[in-house]
This record gives sequence, C-alpha cells and structure tokens, in this order.
Amino acid sequence: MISSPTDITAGDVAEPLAVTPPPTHGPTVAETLRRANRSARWQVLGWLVLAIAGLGAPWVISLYQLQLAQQAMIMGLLALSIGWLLRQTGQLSFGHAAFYGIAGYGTAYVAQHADLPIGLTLLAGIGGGTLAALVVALVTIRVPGIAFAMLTLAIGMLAWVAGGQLHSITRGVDGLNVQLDGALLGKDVVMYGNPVEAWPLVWGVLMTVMAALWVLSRSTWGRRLASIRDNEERMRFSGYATYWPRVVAFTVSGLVASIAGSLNLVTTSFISLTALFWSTSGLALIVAVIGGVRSVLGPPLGAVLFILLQNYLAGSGNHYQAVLGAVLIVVVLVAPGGCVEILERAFTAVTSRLRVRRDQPDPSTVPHSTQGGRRAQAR
Amino acid sequence: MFVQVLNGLAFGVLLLVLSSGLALIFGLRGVVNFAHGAIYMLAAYVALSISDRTSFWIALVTVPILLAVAGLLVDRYGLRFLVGRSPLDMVLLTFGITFVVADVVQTVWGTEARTIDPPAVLAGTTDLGLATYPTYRLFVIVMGLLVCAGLMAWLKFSRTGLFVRASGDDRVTAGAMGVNVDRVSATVVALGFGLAGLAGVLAGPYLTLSPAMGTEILITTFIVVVVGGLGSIGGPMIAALLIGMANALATVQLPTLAAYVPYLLMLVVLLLRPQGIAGRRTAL
Repeated sequence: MISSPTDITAGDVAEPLAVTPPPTHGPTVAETLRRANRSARWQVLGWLVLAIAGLGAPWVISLYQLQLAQQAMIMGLLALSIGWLLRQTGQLSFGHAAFYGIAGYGTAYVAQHADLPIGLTLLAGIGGGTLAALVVALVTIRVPGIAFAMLTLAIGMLAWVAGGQLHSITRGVDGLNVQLDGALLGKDVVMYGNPVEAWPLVWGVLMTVMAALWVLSRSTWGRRLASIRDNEERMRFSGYATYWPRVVAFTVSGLVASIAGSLNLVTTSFISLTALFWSTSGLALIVAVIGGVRSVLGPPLGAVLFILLQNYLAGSGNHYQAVLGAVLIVVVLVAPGGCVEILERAFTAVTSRLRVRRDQPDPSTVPHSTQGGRRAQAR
Repeated sequence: MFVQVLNGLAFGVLLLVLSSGLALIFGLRGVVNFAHGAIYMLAAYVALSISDRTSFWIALVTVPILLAVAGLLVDRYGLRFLVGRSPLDMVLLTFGITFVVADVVQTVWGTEARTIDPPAVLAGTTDLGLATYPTYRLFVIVMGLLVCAGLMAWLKFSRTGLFVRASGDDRVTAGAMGVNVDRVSATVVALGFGLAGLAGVLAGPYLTLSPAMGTEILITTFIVVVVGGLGSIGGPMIAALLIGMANALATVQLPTLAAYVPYLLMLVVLLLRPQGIAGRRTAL
C-alpha cells in the first residue's frame, strides 16, 4: 500500500504507465480499406482478362458449344438482374420474366409495325421493359419481404395471362417468328442468327453489364442501398431517402432483364409465351443462387453450369430438373454463397497453405509438430 | 346457378385443405413452402398407383400419412438447418424440392394426363332437390369441411394446438416456457405436407392429373394464403372459399376476365393491406 508520494520510485510507475496498444478486434479501418482496394484491383484485372479471353471463344470451341454458351450468357444476364437485386436490396423477385418478355415482345412488335432503324427498335423494346419495371417498382417497392416476392409473382402471372389473351400480338404458345432487318453495329442483324457473328455482341453486353453493376454496387449509392437492405428504419431515421433508391435499383435490374429479352430476340428471332411464365424467373433465380449472388460473377457462372448440366444430362433421360433441384438444395444448405463461395474457399485454402510453406525457413530442420501448428494457425 | 355455387364450393374446399397446410407451415416455420404444389401433385400420382392396385379408400388413408413422413424428413434434414438464416433460403430450399419432385413424377408416371376413377359408391350423381350433382364432388365438400373443422378444433382446444399457436407467436418465449419448439415445428411441417397430400388424393378423381397441376394450383394457393393473411389460419379459409366462388362464377359470367381475377385480387389486397385480410403485420 502506498502511504506517501516519496514511496514511489521510478521503477514502480514505469510499468503501469507504459503505453499498451488498445485491444484490437479484427482489422483496423485502414487495413480494411487497403484490403478492399487490393481486392478491387484484382477484380478489375480478372474482369479484363476474362473479357478479352472470352472474345476468343469462337476459335476454341465448336459451333454447337458456342450456341450453348450464347444461350448461357443470355440466361446469365437475366439471372444477373435477379441476383443483383437480391444481393443489393434483399428483395426476391419472381416477376422478372415479365420484363424479359415485355422487352422481347416489344421489340418484335415495333419491328413488325413501325419502320424504325434496328437500333431504335431495340431501344424501344428495352425501354418498354424498363418502363414496366419502373411502374411495378413504384407500386410495389414498399411491400415488405416475402409479400414482395408473392406480389412480383402475381404481377408476372398477370403479364403471362395478358400475353395469352393478346393472341393477335403474341401468337400465344405457338410463339412468334420475327424477321428483324437493318444494320446493327456494322452487321446486318440477320447475321446475328449465327452464334459466331453474335458472340462478340452477346459477350460484350454481358461483360459491360457485369462491370456496370459491379461499379454500381461499390458506389456510395450502392452502399446506401445495402444499408437500406440491412436496416431500413435506421436509414430513414438518419435522414436518407429509402423509397427512391430502391425504386431505381429495381428499375436498373428490370433494365438488365429487358436487355436480356431483346438480345434473346436478336439472336434467336423467336419468342413465345414461355418467356413470360414464372418458371423463367424461377429458373433464372435458381441459376443465380447456384452460381452465387454475392458477386456479379456468380449468376453468369451459374448459367454456364446450368446449360452444361442440361446439355450433359439431355442424353440420359433428361433428369436435369432433379439434378438441378438437388444441387440447389445442397447449395442452400452448405454454401449459401453459391459456387463462387466454394471457389473462394478453395482459393483461400490453397493460398494459406502456400503462405505457410513460404514462411518456413527450412522444412528439413522444422520438426513435424511445429509444421502442423503453423498450418493450423494459418487456417 | 345452384350448380355453379356448388362447383365454387368444391374447388374452394379443395383450396381450403391445400392452403391450410401452407398457412400452417408459414405461420409456425416462417417458410413459404414452394414445394406445396409439388407435394400435392406427388400425392395425386401416388394415389393413382395405389387406387389402381387396391382401392381408393386405402389411398385416401395411406397417402397423407406417407407425405406427412416426407414432411418430417424435410424438416429434420432441411428446414432445421436454416433457422435463423434469411427466410429466402427456406424459399429456395423448397423451390429445389419442387424441381426434384416434378422430375420424379415425370419419370415414374409419364407426362400424359391421367385420371383416378372414384370408388363405386361415389361414382354417380345425387339428387339434391334443386339439381343433380356429382356425388364425388359432394364428398370432396363434406370431407374438406370436416378436415378443416377438425384442424381448427385441434388448434383451438388441444394442448398441442396451444403449443403450436404459442410457438408460432413467439418461438423463444414458447421454448423458455418448456415447449419443445423443434418437435412442434416438425409436427406442423408434417401436418402441412399431410394436408397437401390429402388435397392431392381428393383432387385425383375430381381434376385431371398432369405434371403441370402442381404449379398451377400452387399460385392459386399462394393467392389464397396471401389474400387471407400470412400467419393466420382463419383468414385463408375465408379467402379459399371466396376465390373458389369467384373462380367458378367468373368462368361462367366473364370468361375473358376470369383468368385475371385471382391475380388482380391478390394485387389489390397486397397493395392495400400487405398483411392480408386477417394477417398480422409482424408475420412478415
């Protein structure tokens, strides 16, 4: 016990006064930012490599495979629109087939009834789908959670019923064959019926959309959206608008679905009522989830896997539905981040293993027990 | 007109049995069971096979039990792991089940439309004074109403029913008061699947069996549950009868608009009252 100041010697106070760093819980802000920047740099680089490498696909794979790939990319676009909405706003849409279909039918209708250049025709179709998305968003966006999913389902089904009733425009289940004409990006639009000709367009559109959505997610606006998703009330109380950002996000996602719809018409010259049915949305959603909705790479990856699977199983009694369902169940239970998460986990496991090996001074002098310990630590 | 009302009632009662299962699963598990339509379809096809070999009555008893067991398994090995995660994960899980079941049905029973013959006692028509009406449909009406009355009574008066309602209202508190919430949940999911199975068997001799029957009725059932109110049992019962009637009457009176009616009804109800006619806001 200290009775008087004189009892205190320099040695006694030195210990307790020594500045100890505050206890750290996880990485500091600076470290997090540095990591995010590093990861962003890698992602941009990866995107560039992928975009350029993908253009070479027609020289590497056969015509049939290219056709499948093209199908996968268009489905990937639709999946991306639903997946991005789910990731960014937490809202599950079962109605995106409506925008996909409206854009397709809109493009077909304008092409048949108005003598516009092909570029404007496509814009009209895409604009129609996007406008429909905006109207739907304005009305429904306030509805919470699961009711929102149901509501989009009802709206999608309304569009489907309407499509069936407007037989003169849609030709119902028989489908509509459309001859587009004019020059698009320096090529006659008929040429895009050939996958080799269409590939750069389809690939370019997908890559651009992926980049745009990635940038949007990382922007201030995208982060605000994510905050609204996590706690809407808190954002509203902090003075942020929560209605309009979500309306815009839904419209953007509808725009992407519309682009997919028009692109589908350009490459296949055909559209039928199936495009509007809710199973189109459902399938795109499954594909997005299997691929992983946490990144923009996931949904297209899921679409590629789906088309491969469907094609691989087509020969053996066509059980792709059962396999797809089973894969979905397993992914939901085991890896909610989808295939991208599985890949990331594998990547982290490999790199941490490599890092351990690099840290070791000399494997021959280190006893076995320490090796195991280090490896366990790194994990 | 009288016959139309009876038709509406028959379809409404079928929806009633189906949607009370869906409402039950949603109310307690918080799961929007997208597999409900597929289970209903599977039940109808299994009933087809059983009644071909033995009799319809055996199918009527065994199929709901079989599917209740399937429900137990789904709860035990699927839904239980997703408690505490986003409710959308459960939607996706049941959505996956839909695909698997659809494939199984197509593989085992083929894609062409089939029908189940009603048993001899119910095959003819009955004279009701005002009109003659197919006996089987009357049976559906009576049977469905009895089952739903039984369900309501069970929920309201029995001890397990009390546990079910308590766990649906507040899982944590019910657990703290000594209710085995996991077991109650499993019971409810099993019961919901069993009810979907019963609806499937009842629908067999009444509607046509096809691989599309599940998705078609699933949407209608969703509409019933949403209009009635997510998280309530009584609301969907009213809504089922309403929509059954609206469906039967609109088909005759306004054939061109009939297809829109249920979706428009759902749209209007969700926009004006997202929790449905009798639902509670907290259920969302």
